[in-house]
Amino acid sequence: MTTAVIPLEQRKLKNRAGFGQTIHDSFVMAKRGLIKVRRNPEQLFDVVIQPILFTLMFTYLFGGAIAGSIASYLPIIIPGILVQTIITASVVTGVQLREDMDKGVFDRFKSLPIARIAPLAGALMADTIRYAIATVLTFTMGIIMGLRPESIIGMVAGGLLVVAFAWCFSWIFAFFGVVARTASSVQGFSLIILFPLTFLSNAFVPVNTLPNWLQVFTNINPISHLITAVRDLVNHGAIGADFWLSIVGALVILAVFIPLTARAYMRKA
Amino acid sequence: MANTTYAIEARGLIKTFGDNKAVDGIDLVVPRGMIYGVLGPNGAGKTTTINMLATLMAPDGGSATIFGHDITHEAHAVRQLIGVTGQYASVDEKMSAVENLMIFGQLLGLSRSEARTKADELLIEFGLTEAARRPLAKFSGGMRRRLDLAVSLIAQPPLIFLDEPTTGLDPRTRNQMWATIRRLVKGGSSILLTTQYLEEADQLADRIAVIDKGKVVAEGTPDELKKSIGVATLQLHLSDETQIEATTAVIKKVLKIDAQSPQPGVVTAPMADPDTITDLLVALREQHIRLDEVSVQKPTLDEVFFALTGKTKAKKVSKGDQK
Repeated sequence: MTTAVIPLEQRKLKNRAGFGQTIHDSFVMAKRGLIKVRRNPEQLFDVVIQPILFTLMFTYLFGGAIAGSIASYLPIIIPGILVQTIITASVVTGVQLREDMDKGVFDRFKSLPIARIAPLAGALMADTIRYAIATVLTFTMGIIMGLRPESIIGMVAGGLLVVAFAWCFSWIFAFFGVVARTASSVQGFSLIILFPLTFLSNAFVPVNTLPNWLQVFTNINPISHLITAVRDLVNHGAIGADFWLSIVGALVILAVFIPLTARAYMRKA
Repeated sequence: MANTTYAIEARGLIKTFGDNKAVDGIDLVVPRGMIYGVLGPNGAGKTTTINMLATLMAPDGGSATIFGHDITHEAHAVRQLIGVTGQYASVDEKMSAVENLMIFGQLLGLSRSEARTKADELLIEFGLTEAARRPLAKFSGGMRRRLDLAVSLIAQPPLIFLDEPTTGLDPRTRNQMWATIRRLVKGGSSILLTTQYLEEADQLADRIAVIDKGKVVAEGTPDELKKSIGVATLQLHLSDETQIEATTAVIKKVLKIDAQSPQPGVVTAPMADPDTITDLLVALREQHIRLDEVSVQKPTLDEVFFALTGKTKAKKVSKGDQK
């Protein structure tokens, strides 16, 4: 009979999940996330619509005014929109995490002998598929509209950089997701952070047109550095200082928010 | 060396939410291999107690061990020994039954193919094969509970927590669930089950703890609990309603207790020793008191429950109001 117990004497108990198990459990959780996406493709609505809509809208709206022509604006705007779209998508990660955690299934995760952090890490890993979709669509739109990247390798590298950065960035919103009481408060709070970070950057307009005090902010804004890094890669196939600054920024976010999120989650767990 | 005699040993568990002492010093000792019922009204602290024992929630005071492993310091080990089925189905609504079982199987360390085999076995055992691939949104409440229990059994844990496993189920599904629970114990599991239904505790549990307002108010086998409020009740239906006073006088003389008349023509009296009924009946015959009906009723768990949780007063008052 399958429901007969395995006797106590035959069980080797461990008192903590090791590193290998943490990785394994996180991957299983990521698989769970992917199954859910497959069952509910509407979860991908934002990462499909936003790249198409924003690319069209912003390029034709600002192209003439800012860069003189659509063609000369594309190399500036496409990396900008890409980063903005993907950071927005990482907010959705936090919101969905909150919704997920409110369901009974998270109680079960807590009662299982798995790595505590796995449900979080797995959910965040699964969401990189969303970022990848948004990246591919944004570049595709750009190329259809006339973007001619300097090197394909550079474009692919730029895409990977953005997806990796978004994964790191999503830990911030995962933190809000864990500490917030409702999904809508996660959304509200995240947008307050999101808008200044993405719009007060070099995403849409040249920074030197801004007032001095604002330039100070946009220049230290990590999003600006990420966008510049992607522009360097896509338009020149080059890795510049901004590339390394983005990597450092992402690592700082991880160093701060993984422990913070993990601790908040464990406390609730 | 850990003491593995008891499935659960809890001492003075406390959990406070704000001003509310949800669990206020609960002691529980659950021997291996039995169904232990935790019985109490809504809000008595049943679920909170389970949540602490199942390491979902840290206690604010007291301690507990599961097969000798401390729930606070060896939580990860404890989780390898338990299965938890909550009040609300804790499975993934968006996924099918197979997908749920496979994900949980893999989380518990099974390989993909092992998880698949295990999932198929459990689906057969719980009669869910036909619905295996359907999304759970289309499942009935009973099917969801069965799947939930199946998920708890993937690791074949020696201790299973069932939090109100039949609340909200129709009688037929409830009986199926009872049969499953009995089968689990035969397979060697120990089970801690909470319920608000006295009948359920009476039917399933080998021992019962009655809890109210976060405290254990009584503990024992169902029979012990019934005996603890005594005593069987003797009920006499008189042929002649005018003889009630004469009857109570006889009872007073023979049994040395005060009888009551809850309704015209009926006399009831608590009776510690059913054997004395013969003497009483002889005495009544001598007084020419004729009886339509005689019955001796053992107390039901309901009466035990109401007596212990202080709900009986409220009940009497409402009856009095009607009169």
